[in-house]
Amino acid sequence: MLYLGIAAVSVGGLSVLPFLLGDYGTGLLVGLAGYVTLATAWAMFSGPTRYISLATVAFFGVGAYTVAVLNEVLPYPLVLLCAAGIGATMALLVGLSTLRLAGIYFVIFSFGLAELVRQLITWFEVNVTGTLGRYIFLDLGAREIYWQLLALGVCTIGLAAWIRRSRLGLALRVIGDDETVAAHSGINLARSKLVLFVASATIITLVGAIQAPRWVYVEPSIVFNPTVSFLTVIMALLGGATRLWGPLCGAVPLFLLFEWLSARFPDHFSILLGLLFMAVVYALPNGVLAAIEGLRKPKRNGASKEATA
Amino acid sequence: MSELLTTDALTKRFGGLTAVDGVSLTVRKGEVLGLLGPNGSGKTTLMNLISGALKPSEGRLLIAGSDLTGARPDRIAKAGVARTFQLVRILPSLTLRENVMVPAAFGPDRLWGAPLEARVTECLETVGLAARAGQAASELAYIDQKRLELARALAAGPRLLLLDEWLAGLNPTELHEGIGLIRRLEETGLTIIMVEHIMDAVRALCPRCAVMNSGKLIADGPTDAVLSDPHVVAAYLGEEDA
Repeated sequence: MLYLGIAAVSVGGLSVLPFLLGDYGTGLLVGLAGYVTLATAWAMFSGPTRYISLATVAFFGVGAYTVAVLNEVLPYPLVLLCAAGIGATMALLVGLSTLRLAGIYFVIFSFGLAELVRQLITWFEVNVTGTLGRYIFLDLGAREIYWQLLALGVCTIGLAAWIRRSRLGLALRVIGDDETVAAHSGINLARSKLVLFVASATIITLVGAIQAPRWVYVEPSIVFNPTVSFLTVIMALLGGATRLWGPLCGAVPLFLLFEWLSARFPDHFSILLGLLFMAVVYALPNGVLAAIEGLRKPKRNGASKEATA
Repeated sequence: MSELLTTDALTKRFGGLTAVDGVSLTVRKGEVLGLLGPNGSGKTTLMNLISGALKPSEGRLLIAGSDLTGARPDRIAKAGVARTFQLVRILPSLTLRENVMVPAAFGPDRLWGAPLEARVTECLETVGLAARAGQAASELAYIDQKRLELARALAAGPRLLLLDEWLAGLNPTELHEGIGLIRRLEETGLTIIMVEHIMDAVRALCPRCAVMNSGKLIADGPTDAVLSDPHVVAAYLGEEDA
């Protein structure tokens, strides 16, 4: 009950923030809420299973593009529902065909997927519809978009917390440790991975759909920017992809840092991003939260690692 | 006694090599069978076929009357077959307690909540690790990893337990303890197939033995009779410290 109370107060506080901050501040909040949700949804699947997915922008972009295509045809809630449905279907097909791939092959495939989807949409727009760019005319300001992302983010963290306590959460941690033991213990590997992959990808698709009106003008090279995938991974890894609050703890400081870097050093942004990526992976392989815990309890011999499951 | 496991001409080929060649074996409920044979004779491959890690090229696999030929390992686990591995496999990032939870939560009984906790505690107590339940499995010494693996297999509440050289690599004191532990499991009426090279353990634990050589079953019967069979002696005991 105490936790629910704290959560309610925090969400209340976060939702009035746009009134206190100006337009620029609200713009930052949109980005923050978006990346916290992306990183948490990414870690929901990739954290326990250790399947590093670079397909984030494939789903994110499909969400944004769905809104661009349907925003003048359907009412907004239905557009979001369509985006979620398309994201889930795509994740199901991709998952069925690729979740048997191990380690590095999955990483490469997931990276290629984003490019494949981008090229397919570009080809379709150029050859079939003849309109490469699209406009989104939705009467949604930064504030409304932020509230939607905040709601989605709260639901995502809630879902992640629930999964961690569930049988499915235990199954995924076992799969991450040893698939052979998992299978011989009665875990259906393919189904467990697929369920989480679809859930994670659907949320990522919705983030793209909700953020789409911010662009007004949309084309494949804008919404399928691979930097989104890399940022999501590095944020989750910095905070700790196996912890509930890890992605949030990584996303907030890194998003603000990237905002500052891209404004200050627009030409060198990619180099700085790459350096930071390497620094995180080498210095904090298990994330900041694990490192802090390690510093605080160096002698307690793992007794502190008592389960969350 | 009823038949728990039947393999009917079970065969596994890897390219041109026939690792398991037409093995027909029946194990009844409550039996403890020792599976012997020189290195490379196909014992572990047979265990992998029974547990579903490998799919047979030919033949049939029946567990408690249901045909599970070619079934995935998770289905065979749910049918009540639990195993340990020749090279011990613990889940290093999980605690001992969580390690043992896994087959109890996903195996035939699908326990959760209080019954799950009770099963985990019971199995950790059986192998003498209950006091360390919250510790990370990666911190265990080799013998304790083996104990944990056995506790995990038991937590499934198995009908059939497959032990693949579970006693290998133990020092004499640990071996003595290990034999005592398996004997106590036998006394509960558990059905066990154990691949084992240590003859003293086989004589102490297994009333019945089957011997494999070059993928074929060359002997099957009461342990004393099998171990004095000239074919078995020629194929196997010549190179072992019997």
